[in-house]
Amino acid sequence: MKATFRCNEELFSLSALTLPQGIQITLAEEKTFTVQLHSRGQGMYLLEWHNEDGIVRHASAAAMKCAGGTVQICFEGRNYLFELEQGSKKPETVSGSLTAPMTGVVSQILAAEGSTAQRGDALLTLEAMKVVAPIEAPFTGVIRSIMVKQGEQVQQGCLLVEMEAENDGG
Amino acid sequence: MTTRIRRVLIANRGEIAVRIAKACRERAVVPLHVFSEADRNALHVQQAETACCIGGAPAAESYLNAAALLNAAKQMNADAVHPGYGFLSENSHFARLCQEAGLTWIGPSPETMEQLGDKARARKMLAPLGVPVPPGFAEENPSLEELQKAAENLGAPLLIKAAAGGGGRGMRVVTDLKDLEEALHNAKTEAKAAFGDDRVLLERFLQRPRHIEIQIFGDAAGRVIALGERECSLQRRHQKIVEESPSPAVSPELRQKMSETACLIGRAAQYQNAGTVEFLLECKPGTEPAYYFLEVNTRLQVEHPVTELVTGLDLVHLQLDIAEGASLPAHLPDCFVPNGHALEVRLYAEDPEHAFLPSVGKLECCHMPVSPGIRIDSGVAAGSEISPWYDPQMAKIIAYAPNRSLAVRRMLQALCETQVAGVATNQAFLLDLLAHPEFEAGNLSIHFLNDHFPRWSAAAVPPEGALLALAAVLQKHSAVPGAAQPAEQQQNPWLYSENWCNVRIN
Repeated sequence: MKATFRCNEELFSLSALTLPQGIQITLAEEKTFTVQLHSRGQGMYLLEWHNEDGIVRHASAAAMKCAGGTVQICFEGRNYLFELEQGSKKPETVSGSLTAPMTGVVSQILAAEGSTAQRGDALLTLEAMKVVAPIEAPFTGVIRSIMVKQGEQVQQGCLLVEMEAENDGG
Repeated sequence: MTTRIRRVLIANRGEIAVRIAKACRERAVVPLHVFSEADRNALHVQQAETACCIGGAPAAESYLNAAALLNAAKQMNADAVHPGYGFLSENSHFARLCQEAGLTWIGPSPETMEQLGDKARARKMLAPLGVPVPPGFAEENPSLEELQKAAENLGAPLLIKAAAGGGGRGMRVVTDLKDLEEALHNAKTEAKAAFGDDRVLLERFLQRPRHIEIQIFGDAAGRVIALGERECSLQRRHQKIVEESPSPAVSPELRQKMSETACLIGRAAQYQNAGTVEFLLECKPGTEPAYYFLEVNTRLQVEHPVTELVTGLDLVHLQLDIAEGASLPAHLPDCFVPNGHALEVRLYAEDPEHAFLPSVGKLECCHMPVSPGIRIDSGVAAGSEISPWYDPQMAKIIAYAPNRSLAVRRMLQALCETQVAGVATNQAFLLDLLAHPEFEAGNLSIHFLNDHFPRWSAAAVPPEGALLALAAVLQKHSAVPGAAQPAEQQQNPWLYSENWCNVRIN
């Protein structure tokens, strides 16, 4: 396995090879470790490796694959999200497509299809755990379609509203 | 008169429902649970011997639905109701309905709840008794002119509060009196919408106060005792995040004075069962600390374990004893002095890196530490769904030690050992909070987060161990994300393999 991951805007290149004595891992193409990995079930692992000074190190970690090819590693009380860095850039999302920033319930629809919304207008509100998040128009334009209904539960990243800029082609 | 309680309806969910049920079983009382349609697989239901669905996922249809709760109580043959905290716990109307249905209400009487629940009324009742209240103005139905005159006398900055309010709703800080009229209008509109009551009161705005509360207990014989203080100054959007007892700011003399005031309030309201008297404490250099009455919470608090650890009492058992008509045990002192130090943090399913937005999902992994001095009160387990319908609180971690410094270090260690994957949590934020030098020094105020953590982001660089874990796990499962995989494994390829590790060792 050889791959580059992005975490908090930094790149990390990793390579790994399974050997009889354990998994040989090279970080940033310079530091090499031999790691024993024991699964403890439910996504939890115990790691064992030797530092350069020969001292054995143990650590536990939880690992989970999330939506969109991201891997969540929980280590020493902190969560790290690693995104696979693929050579080609991801296609830019269509600017007029508004997606849900969190999983929640559509509590109010404030705009109508076909109407014009000013930049910053709240088009609908999402609610989760008593927190209300307004979804605002990123630019002034026409609401082409509203893809959700009031009371509907939506997942994070789900398409909510399609908009078209007012001065398109103008 | 004493009546033995045998079957308790727990009108709540999450960790508090689990915690109350445990106390019930310890005394051979049958816990009866309720759940909404969204909570069918929740931990409190999984652990329930008896449970009953009370309605739809929105709280208004279930946990706030008095009729459905009373019906469940009848169906499951309950003889008492424990409301927990939140939901209907401070609703005197619901308490009265329970009593009218012949159920024992495990909490103070509806009359006491009404007397103390209204901030303006409580203030008016308590000030003549010598309870220190913040300088302010709390007349019934004042005209705008009267309010303006009172505001001029108080001077800016001042605080507008909803009389019926709580949780920061209907609250406004006025730093310039020319904004008073507009702020009044906004506060009243918000209070009307939230509580159906637009009465407001004015109070002097205290600079950097600390939130100190005293746990009280009263019995039918009229005795009220104080179980020491809790400091809950660390708050975000009026939500407490860290609570501890004793408070680093409270001297034995101050504790005695505040405890006596809290007991005085309890006796004035004929308080029976558990309650919390909240105060703001203003510590200005060179002057004696001054405390002011804030409000009384007429229920068990989220942070009650902190008091349990430093007093050695079990507050839920004590609540049940009092509700059965027992007197407070004679050997309990009137004013407790905390023994050792306890600290609680609330583990929330929210993403501190994205404006603390709630995080919804399935807890694929949920591992809580087992360590000396660590208590976990949890409402979730591996496999639990965190739904968008209710509070984001998943669990409470409570650390106990002979002194504050060790309690904090135990908590940091426990947070490092806590592994939750599947939703975002405030865990890393808590770690940074507790490691802050000003927290360590005990220099707290209710503005602590604004002062020291105006913009927070997680430690950016993953340590070597995290990278090794990533590489080793991916290699083991030959699962570089994005690479082609069998469809059934797309979701979480390495959760379902690895059965070899579950060998039995005996």
